[in-house]
Amino acid sequence: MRSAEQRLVEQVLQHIGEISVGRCSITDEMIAAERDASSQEIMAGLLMLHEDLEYGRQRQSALLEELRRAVHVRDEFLSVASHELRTPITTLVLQIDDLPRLLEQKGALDNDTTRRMKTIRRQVDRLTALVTALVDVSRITSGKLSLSKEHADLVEIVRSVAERFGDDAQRSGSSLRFADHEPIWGEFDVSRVDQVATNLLSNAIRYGLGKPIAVGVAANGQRCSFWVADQGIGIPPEHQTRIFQQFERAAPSTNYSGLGLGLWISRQLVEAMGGTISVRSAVDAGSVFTVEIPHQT
Amino acid sequence: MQIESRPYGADAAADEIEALRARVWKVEDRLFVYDEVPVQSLFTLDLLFDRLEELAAGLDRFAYVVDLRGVKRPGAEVRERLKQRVDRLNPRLAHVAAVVGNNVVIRAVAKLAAFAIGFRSFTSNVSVEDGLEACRRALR
Amino acid sequence: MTTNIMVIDDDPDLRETLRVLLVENGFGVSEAAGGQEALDLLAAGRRPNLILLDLTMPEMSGWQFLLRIRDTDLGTIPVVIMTARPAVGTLPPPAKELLRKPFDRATLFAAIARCASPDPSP
Repeated sequence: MRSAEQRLVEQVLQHIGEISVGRCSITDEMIAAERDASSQEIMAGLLMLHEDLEYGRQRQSALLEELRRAVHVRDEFLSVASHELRTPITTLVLQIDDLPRLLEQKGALDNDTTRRMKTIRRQVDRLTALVTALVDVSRITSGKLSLSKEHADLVEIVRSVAERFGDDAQRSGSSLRFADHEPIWGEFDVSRVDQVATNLLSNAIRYGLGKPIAVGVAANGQRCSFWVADQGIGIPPEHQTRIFQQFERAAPSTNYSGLGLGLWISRQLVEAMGGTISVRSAVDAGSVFTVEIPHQT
Repeated sequence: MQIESRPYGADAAADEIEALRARVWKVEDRLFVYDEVPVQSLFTLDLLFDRLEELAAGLDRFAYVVDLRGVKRPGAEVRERLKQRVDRLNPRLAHVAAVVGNNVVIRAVAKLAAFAIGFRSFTSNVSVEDGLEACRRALR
Repeated sequence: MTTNIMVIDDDPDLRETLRVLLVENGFGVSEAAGGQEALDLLAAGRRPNLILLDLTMPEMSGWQFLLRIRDTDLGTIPVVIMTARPAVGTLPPPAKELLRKPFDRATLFAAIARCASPDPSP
């Protein structure tokens, strides 16, 4: 026969168990019906513990909802802002591209003015890239990213990116070598693959310390890959996962500019294609970024 | 005027607010009584604790008796505000005496709040007089 | 025979930039700051070989303008739309192509070459 104390212990443990999973069967009537004041106090205390926990949970979901709304507002704003920026950039691009003709008309087209216009055009391209990154982020995070596939040669896509960067690489002192390969045909989202290759190559130039850069393509059965290798500052092992995260950067911002979005966007795009992106790197020994995607992305 | 058994809010009339504030008063130097309303609300808690802070302004130590007889069991939101307001006073509190009468549930509420805040010195008493005595002992 | 282009865009700087660019390259240009102004010009008898249409305009959007001309005799004039948004599936007629902003002159001229109708619509 159980003592009153033992029965109370059982009861309390039962209630604690229930409260720990968000249930409580204690009512005011039950409390009033308890035999002695001590049991009543314990039951009242347990009921209030349950209420406090419930209240805390409700507050947390309300905060979570607020947070979700704020993120949505932010993404909407990013999307609107980046669209708004595109029209003035259009005007800038068209104006700049027309300047040589105008200057020539006025007899003012020489090495100085040509060089200056190239600089201006490059900055505008950079603005465009930033604006594109902003809109990509907002579309990716709101789940509105969609790929458009077409029949294309991966080697050609990557080669044209390498060619586009010829000037930039030269200016930073890096030699840029594209390891040729026979065509690799498949169904690819050409502009997205281009975007990823562009991101990797511009990083290689930026962090390459003027040392040689190599770009290559390979086919392995159902999958194909391309890689960008530099011999620059490298990435410490503890940062190698972080760099693919949003707004993360391993390079000190005092030395290197940038939004910290490129690799995150690249990874989202590559994963949307059903592929993987990885890095092999060591400090001061450079980095090799490899993207592997299926032939049918 | 008689304070009714309902939660009062910011729409309370001026005379109701005066009557509410009058439920906190000074007994003697450093010693106060807080006569809690039957149905607490965030509004009444803030009102009455503001009044207590007014009366205790400038004191480095003080004590108070809170009369909880006749108080209905408060919900989680009210209990949270209560803990916040008392916690604010806690550094200067020499003693809090809760008068709970026969209400077991209210006694438990008082104890839980006391444990949550970590009072320096707390008693649960059956009468206001006992409570005042406990406060005086602690203030000595 | 000069190819005539009607530029419909509420942004005065972009409109002017496009006008100068097109005129310098031998095109005839008419301008409208919005859909209603364009409709008035067309109603008065203008028949361009191509319409360059901005989508985002106050009062009457590019889409609304397209809807207004589609089922009339104006619906035979080819339209190239300009927008900050990316391409979305098939374009509703009479829109023939979409130019994503920002675009450069080469892209613009290529689109005009592809879409402009050879003779003005009757």
